[in-house]
Formats: sequence, C-alpha cells, structure tokens
Amino acid sequence: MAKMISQKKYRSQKSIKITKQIITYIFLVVLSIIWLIPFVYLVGQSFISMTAGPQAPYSATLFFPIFPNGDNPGNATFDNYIALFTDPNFPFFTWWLNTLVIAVITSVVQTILVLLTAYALSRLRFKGRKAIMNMILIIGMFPGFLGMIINYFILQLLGMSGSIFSLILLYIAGSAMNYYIAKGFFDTISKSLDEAVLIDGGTNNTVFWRIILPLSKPIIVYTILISFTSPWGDYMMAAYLAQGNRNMFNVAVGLQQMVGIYASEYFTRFCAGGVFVSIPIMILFFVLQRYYVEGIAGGAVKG
Amino acid sequence: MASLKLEHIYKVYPNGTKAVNDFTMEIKDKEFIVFVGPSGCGKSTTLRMIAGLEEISSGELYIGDQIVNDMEPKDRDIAMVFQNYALYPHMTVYENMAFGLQLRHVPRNEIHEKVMWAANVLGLTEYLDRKPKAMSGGQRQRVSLGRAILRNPKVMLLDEPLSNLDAKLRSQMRSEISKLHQNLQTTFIYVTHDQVEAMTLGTRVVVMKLGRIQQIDAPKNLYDYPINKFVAGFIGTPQMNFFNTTLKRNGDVIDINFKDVDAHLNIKLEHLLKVQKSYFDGQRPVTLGIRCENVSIADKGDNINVVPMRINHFEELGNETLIYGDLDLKDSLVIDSPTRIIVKTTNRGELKMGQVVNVKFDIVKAHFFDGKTEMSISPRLPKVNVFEAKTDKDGKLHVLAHDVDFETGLENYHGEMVVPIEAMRLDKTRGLKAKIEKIEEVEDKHLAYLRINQHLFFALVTRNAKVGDEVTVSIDFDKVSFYEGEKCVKEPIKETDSFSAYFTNYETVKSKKLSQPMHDEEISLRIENIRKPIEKEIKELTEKHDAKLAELSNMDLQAKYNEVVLANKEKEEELSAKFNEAKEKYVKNKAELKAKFKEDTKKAIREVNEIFAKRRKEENEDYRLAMSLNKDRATRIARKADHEIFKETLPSEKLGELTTRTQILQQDFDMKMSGISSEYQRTKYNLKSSLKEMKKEMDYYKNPIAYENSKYNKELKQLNAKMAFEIKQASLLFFLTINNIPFMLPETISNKIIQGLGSRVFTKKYRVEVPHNAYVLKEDGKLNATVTEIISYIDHKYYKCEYSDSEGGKNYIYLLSRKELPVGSTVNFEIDLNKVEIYENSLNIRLV
Repeated sequence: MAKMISQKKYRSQKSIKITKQIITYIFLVVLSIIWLIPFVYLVGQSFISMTAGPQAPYSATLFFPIFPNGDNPGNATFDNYIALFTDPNFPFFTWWLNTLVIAVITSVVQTILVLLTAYALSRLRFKGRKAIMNMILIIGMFPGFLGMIINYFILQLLGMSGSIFSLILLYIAGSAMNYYIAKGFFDTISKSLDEAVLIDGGTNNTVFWRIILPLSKPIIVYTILISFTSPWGDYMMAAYLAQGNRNMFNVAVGLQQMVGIYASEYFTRFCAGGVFVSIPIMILFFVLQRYYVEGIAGGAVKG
Repeated sequence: MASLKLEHIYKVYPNGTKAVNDFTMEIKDKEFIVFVGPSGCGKSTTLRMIAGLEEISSGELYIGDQIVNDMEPKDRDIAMVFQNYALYPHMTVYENMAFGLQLRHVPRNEIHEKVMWAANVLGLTEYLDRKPKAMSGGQRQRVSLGRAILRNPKVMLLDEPLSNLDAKLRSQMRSEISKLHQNLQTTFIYVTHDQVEAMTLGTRVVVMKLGRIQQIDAPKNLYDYPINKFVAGFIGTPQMNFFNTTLKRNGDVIDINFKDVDAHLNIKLEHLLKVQKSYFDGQRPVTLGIRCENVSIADKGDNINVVPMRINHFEELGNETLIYGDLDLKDSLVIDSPTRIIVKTTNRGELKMGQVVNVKFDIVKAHFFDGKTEMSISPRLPKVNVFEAKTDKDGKLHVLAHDVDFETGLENYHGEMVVPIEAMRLDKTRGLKAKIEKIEEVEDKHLAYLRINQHLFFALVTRNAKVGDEVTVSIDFDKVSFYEGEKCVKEPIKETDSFSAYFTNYETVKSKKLSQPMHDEEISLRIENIRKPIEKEIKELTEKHDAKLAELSNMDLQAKYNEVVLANKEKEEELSAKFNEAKEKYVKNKAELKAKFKEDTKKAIREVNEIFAKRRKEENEDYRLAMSLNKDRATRIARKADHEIFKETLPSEKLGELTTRTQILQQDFDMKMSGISSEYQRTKYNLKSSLKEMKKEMDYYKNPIAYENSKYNKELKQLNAKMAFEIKQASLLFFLTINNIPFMLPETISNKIIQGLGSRVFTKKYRVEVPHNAYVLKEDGKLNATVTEIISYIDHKYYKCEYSDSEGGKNYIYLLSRKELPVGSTVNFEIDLNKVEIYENSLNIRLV
C-alpha cells in the first residue's frame, strides 16, 4: 500500500512539472507574439508601395503585406525609404541628424556624469549623502514635464531656445539622477579593492578609472545604451522646445507630423522612418554587445 | 624594516563606542606580532589604523620614529594582505603584482625584475599570465602576498589572510608565511581570530577583548602564564576547564573546595607563594583553571587529588581522545554546567558513556583566578606584598617582627599592610635585613624571593643580585595601605592630583585679560628668532644673484649663444641618429622574435602532431595484431576496452601536451619581448632627457639675465612664504586654563592634544592629573593654596594643601617638597606641564 502511494506521488509530480512548463511556455509565447507584432507590422508596412494596389496603403487587414496575399500582388519596394530622404516637405534626414547629434552628445556626457555620481554615492562618505539620495528619489517621482514651462523660460533667458543644444542641456542636466543601477553595481565591488589601491599608492582617481571602470563594463554599456536611446523617443520636450520650427524637430516629433496630419497618405513612409530610426541603436548595441558579455564574465570579484 | 610605536591609541565612533581603547604597545623591528581575539575585539580596527585606512581618534602612531597619524596609506610604506585577497580581477597575476610599482613610477625593467623575484619566492612563475579567477584560493592568497612583498615595505600587515582557505591549505600557507617572515626580515603584523595561527606564527601575541589589550606575551608564556581567565580560556584547545572553588589554608597545605559539588583537592603552600594570604580564608571565590592535558583518568588505588566524574561523551581525535564529563554525578542535561570537565587521554580503554570514573588533577599545573575580577591571583610578577602589622598606642609600627621607625597615626591597630611591589626599596641604607632565597627572571625584570624570619615576600632586584645575598629592605610608606579586616583604615596618597581644565588660545587669554604677564614679548622674540636666519639666507641669495648678473654682463652673450646652438646642433644630430638606430634595432629584434616565436609554435605543433600520429599508428597496429592473434574472449574484450580508452583519451592528451609546449614558448616570448621593449624605452628615455637638457641650455643662453631673474624671484618668494608661515606658527600660543588661570602649553603637548581632537579642542573639558613632584613652589606662582596638614614619611614630607577652585569648591592637593612649610601658611606654586597627564573628560581618552 505504502509503496503504491509513493509510486503514484512520484508519477504525478513529474506530470505536474511538465504541465507547469507547458503552461508557462504557452503564456510566454503568446506574450512575445503580442510584443513582436508591432515590429513585424512596422517593418512589413514600410516596404509597401503607396501605389501598389487598388486599395489605400493603410490597411489594418494587411498583416504581412510584402508577401502575396489575396488581392495584394506582394511587390515589396524601397520607395518609402527613398521618399524619406528626397521629399522636401518632410526633411527627415535633418530630423534624424538632429536626433543623432543629441543622442551622441547626451550619451557620452550622461554616462560620465552617471558613473561619477554613482561612484561618489557608493564609495565616498560625506555629509548629506543620504539626504541627497533621498532628495533625488523624491524629485524623480515627479513627471519631468512639470517643469517644462519653467525650463523653456530659463532656456530663453540663456538665449538657447530654438536650438537643439537646449534639448541636450536639458537631458544632461537631470542625467545624474539615473545613478541607481550603476551605484547598485558599484556596491557589489569589494571595498577592499579600493583599500588595496590606496595602499598600493593610488588615489580615489586611480580607484575609479583603473579599477572600478574596467570592472563595470556591463553597467557602462547599459548606461550608454539607455542614454543613447531615450532622445530618439522623446516627444514632449522636443515638440515643446521646437515650437513648430521644423529644422529643430527630432525624429519622434517629425514622424508624428507625418501621421498626425496626413495619416492615410504617409503611413507607410512613417513606418519606413521608424525602421530607419532603429538602425543607429542597433549598430551601437552590436558594437557594445561584446563588452556587455565580457564585463559580466570578468566582473567576478570574489569566489 | 622598522619599529612601530602605538601610544594611547583610541578609536571612538560617532555614537561613542570605543572600538579600540587605550592601545599602547611597542613593536620592535623584524618582530612577528599577532593580534588575536574574538570578533569585535578591535584587532582589525587597530590594524586598519596602522594601515591608514581608518582614522585614529586619539593617540599617536609612530612608524620608525615618525608620527604617521595624518599620513596617507601610500606614504606610510606599508603593505597589506586582505582576507578576501583584494586582487584586481581584470588584471593578470603579473599586472596585479606590478600595479603598485607602476603607480609609483618605478622603471619598467625594475618592475619586471621585482615581479619575477616575488613570483619565484612564492612559486607563481607559471601563473603570471593568469587572471585571479582562474586560480585557487591558496594561489590567490599567494599572489596577494607577492604583491605585498615586492614593494619591500617597512611593515607587512596581514588581515586574517588565511580564513578563506580550507584547513589543509591553511596549515600549508601558515608555514609559508612563517618562512617568508624569516627570509624577508620585515616587521609583520598579523590579525587572526584563530589561536592556532596566533600561537604558531607570532614572536609575540596580543590578546584583545572589547577593544582592550588583555595580555602581550610570547605564545608559550600566554599558554603557561595567562594573566586572566579570558586569556586562559581563549588560548588553547579545547578550552581550559574552570571550576568555582574556595581556598582554605591548613598548615602547609591549601585545601581547594569545589563550590558546586562536594569535592576537594589540595596543594602545597609552596606552589602558591605569590597568592595573597587573604584568598586562603575559605570564603573568597576563586576560579580554578586546569587544562585538559593536566587531568587524567586515575589509576586504581590512587586517591590523592582525585575527583569522581561522570562521562558524558567522547571525541575521538585519532591519536588521542577527549572525554567530556561532569563532576556533578547526577544525570543533568545542562549544557553549560559549571562542573563540566574535559579530559584528554591517549588510551580510552574500556570506558563507556555514563560511567563514573575518578580523574586525577595535576594540581601543580593549575591556574587560580579571582572569582570577581577574573585576574590571576598568582601572577608571574606579584603586584603587592601583604604583611601583618601592629601598632602600639603611640602609633609606632611593628611589622615583620621588627619595630619600624614610622608614625602611622593609627592607635592600637592590628591588621594587614598592603605594599605594592614598587614600594619595596632595596637601594636605601636604612631598613630591615633580608636574605634572597630565589631569583626568577620574568620578561626583563628580576623578581627576588626575600625572607625575614619565617616571612617570605617579593621585591624587584637588579641584574647583579645573587641568591644568598643579604639586602636591606625599606618601604615607601606613602604607597602603603593599611587594612583592618575588610576596611581600609589608612589609604596611600594618590599618585596624582586631579584638576579640571580648558584649552584656550592666546586670543582668548588676551581678551579675557587672564594672563599676567602677557606673552607678546615672547612672541616677538620668537618671531625675531625666525626672521634672523631667513633674512640672512635672503641676503646671501641676493648677493649670489648679483654676482651672477655681474658675471653675465661681462660676457658676450650673443657669441656664447651662437656657440651653444652650434654645439647643440651637432649633438642633436648625433642623438637622433642614435635614436633611429635604437628604433631600427628594436623593430628588427621585435620582428625577428615574433617570426621565431611563430616558427617555434608551428614547429611545436608539427612535432606534437607527429608524435601523436605515431602513437596512434603504433596502437592501431598493435591492436590489430592482438585481435588477430588472440582468440580468448576475455582477453579480446579487455584489449578492446583498452583500445577504446586510448582512443578517447588521446585527443585530450594531445591538447595538454600542445598547451604546455605553447605556454612555455609564449612565456619565453613574453619575457624576451618585454626585455627588448623595456631596453628600447630606456634608451628612448635617456635620449629624450639629454635632448631636454640641451634645450634647457639653449633656452638659458637665449636670455640668461631673464632666466636668472625669474629663478631668483622664485626662490625669494619661497623664502618669504616660508618665513610668513613660520611666523604665523610662532605666534600661535595655546594655554591650559586651570582654575581660570592660563598656563602656556609646551608646543609638543599642545600638538598632541590638537592631533587627538582636531577642531573640537576648545569645546572640551579636560582632566589634568598632576604627580606630586610636578609642583614648582615659586614666589610669584599663579596658583595658591593653604597648608592644612603635614604628612611625613621616613625621608620625605607631603603637605596637604587646600585650595578653592573657580567654582568655589574646596579641593586638596598633596605637595611633595623639601622646604619647611608650617600649617596654615599659604604657598604659591605652578605646575610643570611636562610631567602631567591630560585626559579628555566626556570620552575619557588619555591625550598626553
């Protein structure tokens, strides 16, 4: 009797395990499909010619439009991409360049600022350290656009409104507030390394540049990526500071203009713009990916 | 290679806890000092203060003869090994070791030499190109040691270096560290909580508890003569057995009665000579401590110093057995019972759990501790002698069966006289005659057992004293206390008088008009003293400069300049030729080396391939042959299995062989490469510096007058700044205000106080402990007091004086003086601040 029970229990445990796994996988697969659809759709739409078929280019039913499907003969085209850079009505290349400049400068400065802040808050003990951390936390809870109008006036006083550098300044000014993750990472690096450097004849500078930074490659990569990506998606600040000046748009504002006013006409071109925007981010990621992995492997301090 | 001195070191945290409390110790050059104690005893904090990683709250730390309190860790010339190794994970072993030297800008070839030396000493040569991650714990700790030793530091600090290692590695590394210490001849300071490490490594061991030093001694002495119960329990495994007992004298024998069980032991009085008689009253609680190896299972029929014990359980250690038992024979489950006992035996015999056996105490090896203070009552150096004393109705003292010429002021007294050992004087001509019975050498002191009639007592003697000598004993009665029963009827005069005081600067003193006379004159004198030599220097400098200018004005500067330019041009060409040559050589050598390395590697691969191909071919043939010849099934199966194994292992063997060969080549290549490149760097550096010198010379002759002028101005500025700084320093005077009267502090003392407390000095209250001989009687002394009593001893007198402090309270001081001062007279005096001790009140820290 006892033997039977134990056998039964064993078997059921295994099947439960398998069932659980199946359910989990189904759930995850469904989620990822939902998550992936917009990307696939975007890419697909970007290759549709505006003059391809009898129907209007914007069609909710056309899921994978580049493949032959019913009425659609399925001739993919680069027309949208070509039009993006040739149409004088929508100077997409200027917008793209604006955003790239903003993103590059912001990511470089912001990474340095974030790492320095995180190092200071992780390693140095000074008066008001806790207070500053709490203050940053609380200020971070307010949405950034609350100060938008004030910021605009300040930038105007500085004579910077109407220039993309006003955006850069704005992004950089608050960048140190994103120190949390870097600080969390620095905290895991043993403090005795710092002490060893101090005894070896170094200073806090040596500790930061020659010990902490080489060990924090993944966090540096993470910070660069995050700070590089965010300007591409910022709409509110960019739109407000541009004040309708088309030469100062970033891609988010510019692309919104396409679909905002002439949705049915320019939707495929909008999609092409969206795909093109992701290129620099992807390039950056593939370049940095190596360090990302290497850093994680090399970061082992103890053990 | 330096001695260390720690003087009254404190570490006080902002919440007031004292992690280290009055740590005073001198460490000699080349010593191996171990700090040991349970966790939280402040041993690591002390080490980190020596390293400079932790600030010293108060006290002074000397390395060599330099105060290093304020020095950064890198300037202290120390090296430290951490518990978690603290290796830089992104650097190879070589880079890890070289890092410190790189930061100090040591030339590259020198670094290479040193790293190779350290790697050689520690057996790390094979691992130089590995990262710490790819190494075992022991190897990592060795790298960490290597990093420390190759800087050749004055002091090596090791913070629990072995506690992350497993037991076997630990003992191996222990002996390596010990060997390292012998080879390096450097001062080692080692922190551990493991007493085995402490005992085996240290030349002296510091036992600490709760921030305080318990005992500093050689390991053997710690084991044999623990100063208190804590040290006795901490040193030695398993722990010493402790029992609550009382002692009762019974003729020449002391009976030891256990408190918690009905058991008795006895010991001859001659083994407890140093114990004060008052412990033998059968009342005072005494803790008996005995190590497990000094207790044994009693033989049958043995009944001297034998106590029954119930066996609880055994611990087999292989060569010996620990028997855990209880003197309380009832079956109790109390784990931490006060009658618990551990016995070590080599022969367990037929003993069983629960059995009751007799154990024999080797009572001569026992230790005795005061039940309350936990201090040893039989220390190696007894602190006091106790004599029975009587007085007649005039107060004349009768002690040691002699009348002593001393007025006690006590009538018909009969009690005990407690004499500290330092109050026993043998250097006077008057006194009692005593005979030296025995001399014991304790640390650097000589303790004599003296006898007068049947009384035995102790005194310190000089090195020359011999057993059998007759000496004259006298007593400093001002340090003696007289007891009648438990009550102290006459106390000794305290060693110091206390004053409360404040710390002030000259500005405050001036503004309050406290000081008469003012010190302005002294300051101007000091300034004058500083000004004179510097002004003289300035004058000399100016004269020299003028002479130089005159010399230059007589020269044809343009011609000289042309000459120099011409000469330098030639030289420059020569140098650049040399440089090109060196560079060419470098490039050529590098290319050659690389080519050779490539070729060698190729050759090695080819060779390995050939070897293994040959092996495989041979095996295959052999196998085929064996298969064709053998028809026996079992043999065939066995041969086949062998063949399979061979096939499976061959690739990995090949890979291993290949890796070893290429690694050797790679190492050789790396070494030669760095040799070539450092040689090239050196030549480059030399050439560059000579080029720089040439340029400097040319610049000089371009406009020598301007150059000389700027040089002169620079030096003049430096001298002026130096003078200004020193004058500023000289005009800073600090005072200690006692009783509202400021006393100027000598510079050394004010520096110490400021060192200890920083900017808080002015807000704190201080206690000044003044020894009696620090009073200076002066006609114009700023303090005054009235003599109320004269206390005279055999050859000196104390004047008890009353004074009122600034708040109106009455206080007493004891003046030691040769002058005759009648009762009721007023004395004026000052305090010699060089002799006093100064404490900070709120934290109770000794500053001076």
